[in-house]
Amino acid sequence: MTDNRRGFLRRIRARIRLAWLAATTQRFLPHLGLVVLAALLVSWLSPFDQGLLLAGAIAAAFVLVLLAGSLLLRISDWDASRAAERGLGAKDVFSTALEFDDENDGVHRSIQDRADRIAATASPAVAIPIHANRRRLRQFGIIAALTVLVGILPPLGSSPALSSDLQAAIEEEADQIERLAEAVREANVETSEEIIAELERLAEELRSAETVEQALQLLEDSESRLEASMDPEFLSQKTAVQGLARDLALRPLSTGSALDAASQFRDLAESLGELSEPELAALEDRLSDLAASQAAGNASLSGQLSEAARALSSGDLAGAARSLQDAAAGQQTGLQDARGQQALGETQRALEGARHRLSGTADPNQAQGQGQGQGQGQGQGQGQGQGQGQGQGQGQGQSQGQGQGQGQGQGQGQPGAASGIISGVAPGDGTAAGQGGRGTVGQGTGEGFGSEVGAASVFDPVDRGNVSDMLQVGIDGGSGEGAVIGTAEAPTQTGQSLVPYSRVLPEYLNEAADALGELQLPPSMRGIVQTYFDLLADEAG
Amino acid sequence: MADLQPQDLEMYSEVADQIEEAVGRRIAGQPDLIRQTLVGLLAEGHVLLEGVPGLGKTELVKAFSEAIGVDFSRVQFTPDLMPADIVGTQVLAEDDSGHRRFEYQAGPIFTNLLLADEINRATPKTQAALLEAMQERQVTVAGETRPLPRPFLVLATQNPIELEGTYPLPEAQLDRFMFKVTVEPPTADVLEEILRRTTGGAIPDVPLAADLETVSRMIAMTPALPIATHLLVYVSRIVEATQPGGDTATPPVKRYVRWGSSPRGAQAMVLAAKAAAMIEGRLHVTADDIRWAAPAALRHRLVLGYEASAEGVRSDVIIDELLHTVPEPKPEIRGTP
Repeated sequence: MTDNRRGFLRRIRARIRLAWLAATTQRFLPHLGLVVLAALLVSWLSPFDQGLLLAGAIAAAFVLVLLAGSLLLRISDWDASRAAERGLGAKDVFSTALEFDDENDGVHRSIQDRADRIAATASPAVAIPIHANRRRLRQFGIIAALTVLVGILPPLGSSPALSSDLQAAIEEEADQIERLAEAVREANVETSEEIIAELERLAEELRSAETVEQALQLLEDSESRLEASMDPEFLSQKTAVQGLARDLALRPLSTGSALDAASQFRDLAESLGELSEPELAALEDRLSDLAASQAAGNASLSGQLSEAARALSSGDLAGAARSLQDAAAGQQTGLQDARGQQALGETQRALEGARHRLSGTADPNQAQGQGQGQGQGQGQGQGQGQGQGQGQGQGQGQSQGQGQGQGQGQGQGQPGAASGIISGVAPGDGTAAGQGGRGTVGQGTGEGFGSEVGAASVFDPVDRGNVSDMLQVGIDGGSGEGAVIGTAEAPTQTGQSLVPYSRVLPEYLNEAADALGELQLPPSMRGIVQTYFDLLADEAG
Repeated sequence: MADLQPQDLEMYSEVADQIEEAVGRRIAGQPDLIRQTLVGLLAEGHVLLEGVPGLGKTELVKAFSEAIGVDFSRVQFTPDLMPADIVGTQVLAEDDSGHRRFEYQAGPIFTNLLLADEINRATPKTQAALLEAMQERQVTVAGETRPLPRPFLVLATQNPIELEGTYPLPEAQLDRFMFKVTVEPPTADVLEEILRRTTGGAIPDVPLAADLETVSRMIAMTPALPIATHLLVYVSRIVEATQPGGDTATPPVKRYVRWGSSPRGAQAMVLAAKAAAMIEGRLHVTADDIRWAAPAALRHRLVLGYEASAEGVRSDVIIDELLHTVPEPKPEIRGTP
């Protein structure tokens, strides 16, 4: 083969690679388009948000495979010769010349010469034309148009871009969270640093949130992290520590002692030598009782008090004094821990409130529907004699006097989606029965029977403007036949037929503390119960 | 094998042109018929001409014999024609001295161009005698084998109508013909030319276009023309596709063909393609030559079934479809022509 024809065939090969690339690309373009469209559709219809990236990767892989395929294409001399002679209409001259190449044969030489002459003037572009596959290109065009359409449409079910109102609402929540962080810093509890870090980070992330969903998710994540930081034994420990404090406040260990438990322990440790034998014996019993009361929630303090009691029993006043000093320190530490944990819980609830507000801002229709639909309650009650009453904000309540009462309440409805259900049945003896429902917004309808003995205002631990609690603590005695004396519609925040809970609080506290220490309650229920009583205690304080 | 030279090829092409031109003076408006007959001559392949009477078949043979200056014989085949009437026989002869002896009297087959007119009217026995001579290019009479002169070309005719009292050629004997050429009735223009030439009182002369020696060299050179392997593959694919039981058979073949072409069909296509290339002055065969030769080489080799007869499907239709269906070997690379 002459150099002339060899060079020609080399150019033909390059042209064949190009033609193969063009033909194969056109052949599979609709398929590529379909795959890319499918990827975008998946991204459009589902939460999978990497559709564009996936589509780009598929397209890039397609290009790479085609390029590699064209480079790796094996094109023999015969292939190039046949392609060239077919494209040029050269009547099989190149392939025949390739086969009949005997230089000593006149006919062969003539065939070679003819092939060389054609090769010298032929253009590879003419020999190997690149055709447009119109049908495939048309198909691809349609698919490409659909792909672009899917690409520019926002994902199905996605939130629209943040409106200025929503942006302002998020900004406001971020500001509030920063203010909350500042308040936590001033409170200077054990968990302040952790809470502040969480809140500052949350505020910053909130400001950069692009959608309401993202902002809500950030708040929820933050709540989850704070909840995870809380000690699962916090409730029982807090109950024990605060119960001890209250017990000692009501019944000091010695007359004239300071009110707080730690001070009482320290004062007692210093004055043990001044006590008489009967006083020491009484003190030993008291310390044993206190130790028993702390066994469930504060084992460490219980052990120290038990140790002090044992020391007193054995006449070891010095040992008893050391144990009492330890108990004082333990009680102080326990209180600090409790405050820190409480700060975590309150921060979590504050974030929950922020989330509800933001959710309500994002979808006011939803908030309205829930508030109206779920936030109503109705109560019925029957009473006998005097002192029967019933009321509710969000819930239902029933009670009967004469030592028996039943109450049941449900309360729901907040701006947004929060809801709360508290139900219970409490036997009453004329002094207490009732339930409380938590909620926000919502209309409550209440009907009351009998005479109203007393009512307490509602306490809102999170946001007084939006979250409300109702406490119905009972009915103050009653007997005889009763009659409906009136009904009233009551908003959630102001229930009717309430009595001052200060009357029943100490007993409630003791019962609740015992229950928390003894019952195997799930942590979520402990939280509810603990929060309930914490609020009562704080309000009382 | 003869040594083919490029310069000879140019001369042969010119001679072929002259022969066609010379024959064309007598035969009006049948260039394909003349070309196919010339191809048959150069490839030493016998030609079966099929057409109604009066289309100039006899004139064609006469014109060829005059154009190349060779002997010509014409035998009218009839049912009472005997083999000896064709190949010759021993006759009792008496010399000057009065001795009698058997002497071989050659039949009309001892010629260069033999026109076997209406071959299908002779008995199979007579047909077989002729066809044996066509294949062997020799005859044996009274134990003595006598070679036929070269070139030797039989142009047989058969009438597609008036089949009553005829003896259709068996497939095996049909296979001996390289080409079967269908002589179509002339168009009005051609007919006008025929009238002008034949009714004026003087029949056009056919000039001598080539001598016997040149024609013999052309016949000898024809097989030497190169043909690329992929064209042999192409021919093989076409012939394979005529077999109704084959994997590559086209739907019409499967439906209408009972028996496909024999290998002689492939040989005929290749030789005819080479002869056509020589006439064109080309140094090698092309796929176009193959496609040109295919119908004449295959149409009498396809045995059609009853369904084809019932539906009036001719073998030409099937061959045409075959040529459009069977792919010419080409690179199996997407995007290439």
